[in-house]
Formats: sequence, C-alpha cells, structure tokens
Amino acid sequence: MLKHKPLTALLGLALGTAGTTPVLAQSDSGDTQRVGNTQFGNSLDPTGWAMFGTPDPAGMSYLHAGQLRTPTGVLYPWPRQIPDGARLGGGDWTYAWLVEFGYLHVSGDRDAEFFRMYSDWKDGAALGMLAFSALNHRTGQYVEFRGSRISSHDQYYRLRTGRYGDYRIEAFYRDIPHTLSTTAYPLWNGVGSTDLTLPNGIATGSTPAQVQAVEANRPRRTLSVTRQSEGVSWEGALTRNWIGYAGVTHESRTGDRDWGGPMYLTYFFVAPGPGGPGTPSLPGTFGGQYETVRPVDFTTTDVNLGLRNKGGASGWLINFTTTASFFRNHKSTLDYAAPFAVSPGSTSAVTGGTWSLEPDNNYYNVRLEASHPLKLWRGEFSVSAAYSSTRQNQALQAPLDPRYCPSGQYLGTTGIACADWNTTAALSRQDGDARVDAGLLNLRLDFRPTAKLSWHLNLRQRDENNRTRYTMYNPLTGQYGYVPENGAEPIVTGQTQLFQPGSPLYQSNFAQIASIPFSYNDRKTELGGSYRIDQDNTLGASYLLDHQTPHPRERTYINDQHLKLNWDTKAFGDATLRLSYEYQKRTGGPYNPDPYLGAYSPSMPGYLQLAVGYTAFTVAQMYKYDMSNLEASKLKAILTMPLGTTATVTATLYGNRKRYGADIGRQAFDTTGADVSWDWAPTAATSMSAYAGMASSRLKQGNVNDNEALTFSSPQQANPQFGGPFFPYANFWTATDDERDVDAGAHFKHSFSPRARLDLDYHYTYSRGLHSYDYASLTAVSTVYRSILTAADVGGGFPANVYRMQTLTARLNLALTRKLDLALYGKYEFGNYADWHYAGFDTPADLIVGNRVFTELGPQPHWHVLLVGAFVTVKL
Amino acid sequence: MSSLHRFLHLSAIAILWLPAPSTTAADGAKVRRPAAWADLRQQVPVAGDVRAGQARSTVCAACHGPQGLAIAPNFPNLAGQAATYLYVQLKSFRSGQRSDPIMSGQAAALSDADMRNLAVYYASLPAKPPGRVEAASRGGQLFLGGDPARGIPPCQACHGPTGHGPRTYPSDAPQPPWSTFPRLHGLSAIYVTKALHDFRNGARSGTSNALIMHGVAQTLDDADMQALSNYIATQ
Repeated sequence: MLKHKPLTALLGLALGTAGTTPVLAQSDSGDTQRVGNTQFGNSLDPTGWAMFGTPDPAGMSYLHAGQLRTPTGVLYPWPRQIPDGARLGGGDWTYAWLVEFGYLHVSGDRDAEFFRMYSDWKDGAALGMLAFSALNHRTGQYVEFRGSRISSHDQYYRLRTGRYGDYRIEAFYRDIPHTLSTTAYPLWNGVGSTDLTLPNGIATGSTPAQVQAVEANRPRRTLSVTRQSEGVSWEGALTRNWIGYAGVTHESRTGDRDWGGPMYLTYFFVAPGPGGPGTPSLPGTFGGQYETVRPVDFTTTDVNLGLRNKGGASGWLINFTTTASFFRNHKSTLDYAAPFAVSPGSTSAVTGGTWSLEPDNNYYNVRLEASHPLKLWRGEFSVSAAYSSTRQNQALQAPLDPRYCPSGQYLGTTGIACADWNTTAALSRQDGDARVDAGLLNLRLDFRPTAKLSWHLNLRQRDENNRTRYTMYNPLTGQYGYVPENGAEPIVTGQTQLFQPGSPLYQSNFAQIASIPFSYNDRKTELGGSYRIDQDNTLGASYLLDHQTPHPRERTYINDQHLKLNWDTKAFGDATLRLSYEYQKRTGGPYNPDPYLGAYSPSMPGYLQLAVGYTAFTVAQMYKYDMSNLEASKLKAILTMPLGTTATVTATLYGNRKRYGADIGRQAFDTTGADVSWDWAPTAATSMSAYAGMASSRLKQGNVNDNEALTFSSPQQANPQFGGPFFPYANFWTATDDERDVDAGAHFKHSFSPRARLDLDYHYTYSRGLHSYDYASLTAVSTVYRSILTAADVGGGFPANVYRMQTLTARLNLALTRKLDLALYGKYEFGNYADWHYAGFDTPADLIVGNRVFTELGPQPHWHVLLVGAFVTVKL
Repeated sequence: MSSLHRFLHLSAIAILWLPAPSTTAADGAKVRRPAAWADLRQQVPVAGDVRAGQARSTVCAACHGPQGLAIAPNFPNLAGQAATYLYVQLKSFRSGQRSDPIMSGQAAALSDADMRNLAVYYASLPAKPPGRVEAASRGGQLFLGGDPARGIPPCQACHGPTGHGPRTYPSDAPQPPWSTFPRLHGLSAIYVTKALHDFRNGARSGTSNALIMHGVAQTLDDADMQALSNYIATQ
C-alpha cells in the first residue's frame, strides 16, 4: 500500500513524467469529497495560482517531446515548472515560499456597479500572493499555504497538509464581495437593521411631494453582501481499502439588498392627465408600493461525513455519505414604516408593514452507493439509495405588526380588529413544523458483451413527500384565511380573504385556507447502448421514459419520453466530430386547470356559494409549462480539429426547439448557438487563444385578460373557457422574449526572455434582450390602464435592454534578480448598459412616483475604469 | 469574532496535524536541481559507415572485445547493441553528460562521424546467443510485469520482452525515441547492477532517458537490482 512507501514510489508511478519536487507546484485539482468550496482565487488571481506558474520547457514527459492530446484531440496544457526548494533543517523537508505585494490605484468610474459587482477594487495596498510550501521527500508529507487579499471583503487563504497517498487536511478562509447597487438612496433610516423608520420631516400620510423633497437629500449608499466562509476538511486512508472523509464548512452572508414592501397596488388608481388618454397620467394615491432594503445575515453550516471502499470488500465498491446543512437567519423579520396613507384623506390604521424573512432550516441526507462487477458480459451492477429530509420549525410571526396596526384600531370599515391579527394568538399553531422528505433508489446494469458493444439499463425511483400541513385558522375570530398586504387590501378595496362558516359576512368568501403540500413520485427507466462500428466511428442510442405522478397538480401523471442518438466519428482526418440528436415527447393524463380547490374555502363545510359563484381560478386552456404537452428536438455538433501539433480549433453548433401544446401559457422556446475557439501553444514560452460565441433564444407565451366587468358581478365570472364571456378571444395577447448574447476574447502569453513575461487578456460581452407583445384588441389591456392608453401608447414592445462590456487586462512580469520580480498590472474596462426598468431615474427625487418609492437609480449607463497596480514579488 | 481571528483559529487547528519539523534552524541550503540534461526526445536514428567504424574500433576492442563481446563482465558487450543508443552514449561521454574515467577520455578524441561509424559497426556485430531465462524468478517477474503496488514499471515496456529492444507501434501521438533505448540482452549482471545504481543515485542523469531511469531506479531496492541483473544476464 502506498501509504507505507516513500514518495519515490509515487514518483515511480509517474514513469517518464518530467519534474521531481512538487514544492509550490502541487496540483490544485478539486476534491470530490469536499464540502462546499472548490475554487480559490480572486480578481487579482482569478485562476487561483496559475499566473505564478511558469510552463516547463521540459514538457509533459521525458519520453517524448511535444504535448499530448486528449482522446477527443484537445491539447493538454504545458506542465508548470517546479521551483527550487531549500532544505528545512537537517531532515528530509524542503520548502519554498513566495510573497507578492503592491499598490493598486483605480481611476475613472470606480463606483460603476458592474465594475465592482464581484471585486472590492479600491486604492491601497494589496497582497497579491502569499504562498509557502514544504515537502518531505522521504515520507511524502507536505504543507501548503496560499493566500491573497485585495481588501477585507475580497480575500482568501488556504492551508493544506497531509501525506501523499495517505491523508489530507485542509482549512480555508474566504471573503467574496457581491455588490448589488452603488446608486441606492434608501428613503428609510435603519438600513441594515430589521426596523426601517421614516426620516425626519415625513410621517405616514405624507404627500408624494413631501416625500420627494426628503428623498432628494438622502445619502447615496452601496448595497452589497459579503460572503465569508471558512472550513476544515479531512480525507484519509483508514485501512488498505477504506477511505474516510469529513468536512465542516461555515458560511456567513452579511449585508443588505433591495427588497419589497407591499401596501396594496397603487396602479389601480392611475387617472388620465388633463389632456385625456395618452397624456401623462396622474399617479394613484391609494395603497403603496415600496422598494425597501432588507438585511442579509445568514449563516449556513454544512457537515459532510463519509466512508468509501476503493475495492476489496468482496468485489464491492462502496461509498457511504451523510450530509447535513444548517441554515440560520439571524434577522428573521423586517418592519418598515409607510410614508403614504393606504387610503388618502383619512387616518389609516395601517402605518407600516412587516416581513417574515427566511426561517432557520435543517437539511439531512444519507446516501449509499455501491457497485459490483458481474461475470455475465463483463457487466457491472450498481445501486444507490438515498434519503433526505428538509425541516424547519421556527416560531411563526403574527400576521400584522402591533406597532403598525395597534390593538384598538380597525382595518378601515371592514370591522377587522387589529387586536385579532397582531399577535401569534391569531395563528392555528405557533411553529412552522414544515418538512419535506425524499427517497431515492437507483439500480443500474452495465454490460459489455463484446469489445464493440456496450449497453445499460437504469431504473430510478425518487419520491418526494411534502409533509407540511398548515391550516390558516384564527382561533380568536374563528375565521380561516389571512389578512393580506399588511391589512392594506381590505382598507383599499373592502375585500377580505377571510372565510367563516355561518357568518353572513364571510361564509361566501373565496379564500385560501391551507397550505398546498406539493409532492411527487418520479420513475425513470432508461435503456441505452453504444456500438463501435470501426476504429473511427461509434454509434449510440438510448431511450428514457420518465413517468411522474405529481400531486396535487394539473395532471395526475406525466410521461416524458426521450430518444437520444449520437455519432462520434474521426472519419474526417484528424478531426473528431460528435453529433447528437434528442427527441422528446411529453404527454400525460387529462388536464385539470384547478386541482387546488381543497386548499380553498369552497371545499370547506359551511361555504355558501353566491349566485354569481366565484371567479374562475384561471382559464381552462392555460397549460403550465411543466405540465403541458411538449415536443422537443435538440441537435448538437462538436468539432475538435487539431491544427498541426501545436494548435486546436474547436467549434460547437447547437439548436433546441421546443413546442408546447398550448395557446395559453408557454407556446414555444427555441435556442440556437454557435462558438468557435482556437488554441495555440507552440512552445512553453508562448500561448495564444481566441474565441467567439453567439447564442440566441426566443420564448413565446400567450395569455388572455379576464373580462373584469364580470368579476364579482356575474355568474359568467366562473366560466373558465377560452372564448367564453369571461375569457373572450378579443382579450388574447402574446409576448415574445428575444435574447441575443455574443462573447468573444483573446489571450496572449509570452516569455520574451527568462526575465520578461507578458500576459494579455481581452474579453467582450454583449447581451441584448427585447420583450415584444401582440394582442387581439385593446381589451387585452387591463381596464385600469385602458383609460390612459391608446394603441399608439401600447405599441408592440418595450425598448431593448442592452449590456455591453469590454475588458483588457495586462500583466508584465520582470525578473529583477533571481529572488525579486516586479509585476506591473493594468486593467481597463468600459461598457454601457440600458434597462427600461430604470428609465426616468436620473436623480434621487425621481425615485418617488405617486405612492411608489424606489430605492436605486440603476447601474451607470456608461462607464470607463482604469485599474493599475505595481507589485513586488519576493521568492525563495 | 473578527475574520482574522477566525482564520487564525482554523489555522491553529490544521497546524496541530503538521509533522514536527526539525528543531535545528533552516540551513537554507539549496537543493540542487539535476544538471542540464541532453534532450533525446527528438533524436532520429543514426546512420554510419560500418567499415570506417571497424577501422576506428581497435582501441575499443581492448575492453569490449574484438567482436564486441567484452573481455570482462564489468565492461558492456556492444555487439548487436542499438546503434543510436551507442551513438548517444559516446556523445554523452564527450559532452560530459555521462562520466567515466576511461570512456570520457576515449570519447573526447572522437569526431561525430567517428561516433556514428563506431555505433553502426558494433550494432552490426552478432549479439551473444540467447540463454535460458527463468520467467518465474523474482527478476523475471519484475522485468516482465513490474510491481504496480510499489510503483515499479515492467522493464519490457521499453526494452522489449526478450531484451532485444522495444516493440514499436503506429500512433498519431508523440512517440518516444525508441532507437535510443538500449538492448539489455547480452549485458552482464555486474554491468547492469552498476548501471542501475548509477541511475538511482543520480550519477547517470544527464539525458532525458537517464532521467526516466532515475525515476524507475528509485523504486528499486538493492535486492531488486540484483534479481533483475541476474535475470537480464541470462537473456
């Protein structure tokens, strides 16, 4: 066994492999058993150590010159040179270290959101790299440390130690920034806390002009979340064939981000301007829609423990894993004060709202995988079984906040008392008691009866059982349902979503009274195989039947059939061409557009239906895209073509075509794309690559506006048929999303001499999204807008959203002495951005629109940033 | 807890697992990398004049025998050896990448043409007749199958199953310089043992081929080397 042998044995395994001492050059390959994080790098060192590596002119092997290719023809990269190590004491340890530090300066639009999105660039000192590595040649033990720091929000450190072929221990710490907005002007005080209060000068009931005056002077803020993680993991050989592994990762996400704040729709009360329809409208003065800022203060602790057998247990290969994940939200509520009265001109009982943010929850999973060879047709049998459970049982929150709906007050004229809804006594139970369990069993047989033929049979059963049951029952009032929108909806509309048997006021209300426990069973059966016709051609085919029985859903069962064909060929010279085609057809049981009635009041005893019935849940012909019929075709071609011995061209072409059997709902989704890349590595000193890609997609969906004149007033409101009185053809509309993305770039790396090396990178990204629509007649537009819009106003679509960015990065490395390098770093980035959602937001005062409060102006439309840095590298 | 404290805390946990380094101060002595080595990976097979080589071989015969069969087992038999291998060795002696008290001096006087001619001359001589090998012996097992558990590759992969040179095969992939690999058939146990020791301790590490053998020989202990040498001598 390797663990008892010196490192030389390991080196011997790598017969003919160049290099001897892996100090500071160890492989950074991912550990499949690790918990959580796998990539260590930051914006200065995005590839994690790669820029400090020098390709070794000795190449990949002492056996042959030149680089080998993968089986599909892609060149392997040049191996990295192994730096000299120094002896540590008089023993067998050698070590090497490297430190790079310097100064960064940012000029231009340094606060542009896209420039800062995942990097905390700022003027100041930076630690480019701190690395230490030590190796015991005799025992194979090693220690490796690596770290880099741009700022306290953008840094990583990792320590690994172990013995090759025996065990490994790793510890890491990492901060990653995520900037969400650099142009935020939150109206509220207390941003970052769970309590958003109004600034001096305004109170609930203020006019838009008053709020606008205050908003105009609010300070600019950056909204961001920092992801801080740390962890430790171990993997080691327990016996000759048994390997154990364990890991714990702890991650904190802290910061703040944009959030909502419902106080009922204010759009309803948009009125035509003085010039009539088509002129600038007067904003509504009821309700309120608020873009608030919520705190983010999460922690997730992942624990992984496992055992695997690499052979020998009577021929079984076994992997047994247990995983647990614990999510904790340290700020589980958000309260916000409302600047506008829900109902103007009268003192409103509701002066603010409250959120119940994500509850703490736990996830557990246990999984066993095993495989065993079979004598028949050189086969293999494999099985995997897993059980998982997701649970949360946090204390529930009262529907209304007593501060914003105090006891003694009532919601408008509805008679609903705040006291009946602003304590947890209004709930049917005090804790969430939510739980979803899932079980998985996968059985697989693989056979290779001849050298040319292989086939497999796979059976997979996964059942998910949502065991959460919650009935919305208020013991204080005897009512079912809840008070929506912080109590604002009843005040504005007089409508409640409460049901109470025997109560003339509530016995006919249509209201949701229980949670819907979505569950499903899924059985997949696959039969497939491949046949090698000759040295250059292989054909493959497979058939998969995916039988799902979701409940409660619109269909009691779904059959998804997939037929896949593929052809891999090397018949065209040195090139490898891989062609694949897939045909998918989905059918299922009869479609029931409203299978959820059991969770609504009409299913309750004591429900008394009005003469006008209740509004249709949705149009009967609405097919949800995961439940509708589907015919899909996918075609993909990948060409890998070696050019001489040092270059490769790769081209990919793909197209997906999906047709859903629906007029209402998703109709079609098509994607097309192509990319081509060229890689050239003539020597260890030079490498170059270029790539370009294009992708486009079109999503088309249709819907029908309901005839709002019939709502609550006519029995015809219950007619769900498309083409009927409630969903007339004249109200039909379609929407099309066209998306086009282009990306291109080039990379050049060259060592002019052992003392001078240049890295150049250029990237171009372009994205354009266009949302267009069509409609049968203007009645497809909601009645609340019809009074202010003409056909010319409606038009045929929204302006295009565009994102374009170009980045040029250069790094010049100059070796001053054997131990001292100077590195000059430069990055120039420019781009432009347009999103009609932010149209008209030029100054903070623009963020107040009627009873709507927005928080951010949006990303900078044009930006140019230059980042320069000078670094000194000191190494052993 | 600050991020720095958290990191230090985790680092301390990991450091507890570290092997204890020597308490003596680091002497900072550099670990010598192998001396510059000759790259044989693109060596093409050599050609030469057999007659001219024979004429130049008088001095060589003093040790390696008039027909290329050595007068004593500490000298290698050259008869039937691969010509390109012989040429590369002479070149290595002359350029200093391989060192020997006798051969370094002898090779210094040879021109490149002399070395080619001598190489093809000795390659043209009939090799020692085959002996009877014991495939089941320890040496036979190592030669033919290696010892994967210890990282020992089989010698036959490069030197051929009977020691008469590698079996080549057509491939689009970069090829090893097969012609530079020696034939082991006909070498004495004493010579093979010395060669393996020289490879293991780095005395022979001046070519890309020697660096391969350096890695291989480090997987062998003294008993392995003796067993292999005995087996090869019977080929």
